Amino acid sequence: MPDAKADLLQGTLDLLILKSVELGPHHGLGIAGRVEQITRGTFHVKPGSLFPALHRLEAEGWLAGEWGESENRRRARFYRLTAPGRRQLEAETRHWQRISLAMTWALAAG
Amino acid sequence: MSAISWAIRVWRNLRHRDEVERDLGDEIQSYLDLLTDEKIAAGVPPDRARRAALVELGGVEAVREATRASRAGALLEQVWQDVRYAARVLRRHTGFTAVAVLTLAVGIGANTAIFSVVHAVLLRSLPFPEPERLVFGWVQDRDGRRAFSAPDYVEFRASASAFEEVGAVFSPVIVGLSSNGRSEPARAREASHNFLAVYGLRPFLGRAFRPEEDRPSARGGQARDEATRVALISHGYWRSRFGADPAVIGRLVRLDLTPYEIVGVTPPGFQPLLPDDDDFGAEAQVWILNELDLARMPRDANFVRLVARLKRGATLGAARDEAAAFARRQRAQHALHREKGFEVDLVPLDRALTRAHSGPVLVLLGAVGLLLLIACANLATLLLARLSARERELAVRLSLGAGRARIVRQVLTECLLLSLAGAALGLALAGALLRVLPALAPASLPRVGDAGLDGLVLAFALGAAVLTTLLVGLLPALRFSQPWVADTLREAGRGHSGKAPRLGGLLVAGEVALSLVLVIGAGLLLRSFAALLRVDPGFRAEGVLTADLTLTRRYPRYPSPEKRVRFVREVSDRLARLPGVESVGLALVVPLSRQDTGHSYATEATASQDALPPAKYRPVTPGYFEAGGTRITAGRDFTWAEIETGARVSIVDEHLAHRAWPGESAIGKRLRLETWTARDGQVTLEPFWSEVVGVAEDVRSARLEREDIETVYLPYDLYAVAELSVLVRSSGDPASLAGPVRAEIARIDPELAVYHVRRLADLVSDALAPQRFSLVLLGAFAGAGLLLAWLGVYGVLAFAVGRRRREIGIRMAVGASGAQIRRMVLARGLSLVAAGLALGVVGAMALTGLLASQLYGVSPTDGRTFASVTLMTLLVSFLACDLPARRATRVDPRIALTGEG
Repeated sequence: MPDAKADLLQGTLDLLILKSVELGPHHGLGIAGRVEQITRGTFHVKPGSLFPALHRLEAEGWLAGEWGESENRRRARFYRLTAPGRRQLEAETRHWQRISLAMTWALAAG
Repeated sequence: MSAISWAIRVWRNLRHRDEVERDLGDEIQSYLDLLTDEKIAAGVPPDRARRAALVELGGVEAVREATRASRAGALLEQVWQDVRYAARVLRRHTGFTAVAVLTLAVGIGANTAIFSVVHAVLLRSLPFPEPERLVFGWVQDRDGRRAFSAPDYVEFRASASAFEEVGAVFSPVIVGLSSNGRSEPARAREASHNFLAVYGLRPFLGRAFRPEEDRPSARGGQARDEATRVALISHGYWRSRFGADPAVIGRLVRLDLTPYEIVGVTPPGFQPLLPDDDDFGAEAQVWILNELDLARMPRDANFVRLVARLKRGATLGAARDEAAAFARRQRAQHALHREKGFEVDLVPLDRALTRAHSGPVLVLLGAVGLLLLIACANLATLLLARLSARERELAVRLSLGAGRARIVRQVLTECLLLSLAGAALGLALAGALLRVLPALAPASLPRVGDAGLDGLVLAFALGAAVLTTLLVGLLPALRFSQPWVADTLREAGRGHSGKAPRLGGLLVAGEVALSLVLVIGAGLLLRSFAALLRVDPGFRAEGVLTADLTLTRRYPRYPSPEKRVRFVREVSDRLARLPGVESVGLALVVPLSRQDTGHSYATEATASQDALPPAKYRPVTPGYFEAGGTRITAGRDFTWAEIETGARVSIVDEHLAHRAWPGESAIGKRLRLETWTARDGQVTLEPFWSEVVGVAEDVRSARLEREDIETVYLPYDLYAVAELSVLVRSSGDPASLAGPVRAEIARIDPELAVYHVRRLADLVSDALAPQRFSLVLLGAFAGAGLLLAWLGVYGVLAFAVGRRRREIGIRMAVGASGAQIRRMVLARGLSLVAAGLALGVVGAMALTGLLASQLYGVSPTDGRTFASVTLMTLLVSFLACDLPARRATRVDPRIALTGEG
């Protein structure tokens, strides 16, 4: 996997994390991998950024975490999207789409 | 997240901190394990997989720290951690902690005490309702500022429409108050009927004066046909003398044998707080109405202190405009005002009070502030020394991910704990100081007794604690949290950088500079005080007892001048016969009390009465000059025969003699003087001619530091006024005569109030009380500052020597002598001191101008004081440098081999 190191703003990271658990709960490492996957290798989240973000999102109530078992029978903390979290994800997505449309127009202008 | 849910989270995070930490640890561990598994599954060997996973993680502690920092309540948690850590560190280094807390306690405590005085005297609003409406009135003419004259006051009162109330207060007098057979002196003050209303106050008990009661009585103390005279007593006097008995209203007492009815009690603690009062320590115990016919008094007798209350909504500017118009009218109508100039100056009472007293108090505040700065500099150098000993530990912490802000915050937390402890102890110190200061403070300082530890003062102490935290901790903390980690860890043998000594040196130089400023200031005040003590007051106070008597017009026993002369003669003769008495004299006004009225006089040569500046008239008895020790330099003293026959003779002082008849003898010359006579209810000044029979040396009668206006001494009967001072010169200790003098006077008149019985020398000493107060306090601050600076110089050098022991050892091993080592250390120390002294001299030159108003006989940039103080400080500092220098010569050269850092 390409090891691109791009700066991620906190808000962007939050959005990516929420998106990555949209289809189901994951543990920390799994979330990092999913983010890399859905951004097609653009963003690689370091643990130093990932863990604070996860705990913050959990504190906000958008993720819910609980201990469980991983594929290879290791104890891990799994995070799933809550109902408020889903609403936040939808709101953030709409917001991003508006921004990126505006940027596209701006950059295309002569 | 709402504030409440945030608070709940914080609480939960703090309560279950261990659990939360454990969970986090487990989670990170599981992340590591999963990552390792992934790599193994990809074909990496297990141990390399593990290491790679660790590298990718970036450090378990760093991740934990990052997560912790973003947690709700993380800041609080860190702060709490800092506090506990700081407390542990401080407990471990008890020496440093004790020194720091004590130093801060002294600095913050002294500052708090002085600020409390400043607050009470200058800042606090006056203890009256709507104090901004209170106005004090001055009259300004070509000779300066003075009180109103009686007719001007009456006319101003009639014309002023911007004021709700215009009132007058007069100077205090002592009366003998008799009640229930007991007679004792009481401090009385005359005022207009509305004096309480001017201040917006109502009597505590009973009633205030009525306007119809405020009328002039017939001259000569004739009995008034109508109602008895009325008086108010003060709250304090009501409690002490009358036992707080509510039945005091309506009680009849006698003031100097004249009956008065007590009709009311003034509010507790009431003081008129006039800016030109000079004794705020003793309150007026009895308030009475003035009985003079003010409208008909001479226009140049200025003794009415005008206080007024603005109408609601009226501005001071409008009142001032009115006053200017009034002054214009007066100048147009009266020749006296036209010639001497006449302006009315209205000032808000609080501003007038502040202006009169702010100088010395603010200087003290500045000085004590400098002392705190010196203390902070001292502690900062101590802190630098301690931190440089912990450099390695700090570097390791920085490398482990503790941010620079974290380190700074932790050092500041230590300083804050020290400051708060210092402030707490300092408040106790301030409380003790404030109990003592009002007793030491001169009576001329208003409201000092109010100084206490109230809200604003406590806030000041807290603010001082925060400020000292920053001043002490910030620079050292910033210095020692810079990420030059690599340097430090690489140099295994040496554990220090060169940064601490440089900053420490700067701080110490600054300390020396500041303390020099303080010591120079104290030195200037000392020389000024010494100069005042050397002033020749024109009298010899040693061995003289003084006592005051009142025979006011209200005293029916001596209604005529003849009776008063006879009384005075009897007192003089009887007292002179007492054992141990060398001479006795009586006069109106004793030296160094304050009386500013002067009268015009003329010689045969000068036709107009106003050609010569006014002179004081001082009625005396024969023997006054001898008793007071004032030399008669030409001619002779009065004789009793002259007193009893009313001879028109006078004695002048040398000043007047030189001015009136330069180069000639004054004896035999004639003066045209004036005297008040009462005729048909009119009081006028009538001229008469008087022959000069003697010349006396000049006497400083108002203040030691100011020369008097010229004086004409008159035989007592010519001015048979009723307030007298007795001077008794004894061959032994005058205090031993106090009892016999009182007894003797009591034999002549048992109910006469005799008061202020004390040594004349004590009166002189009291006159210097304000200067002594400033000197003692500033001297104490300067001494403390110098001591701290001394300790600072010693400390920095001792520390530097301690750290460079290896280098010193090497030098000695290759042949440097002890003397050379000593010179090296001394040079370093003295260069610091020299820099500080230079800076201090510059600073002192700039700042001592603030002392100028308090100095007598010495200029603020007096070369001798500067030079001698600087030299003394240099010598003292030499000692501070020499001790570490000697210690340096005792370093064992073998240290070069053993490699001790």
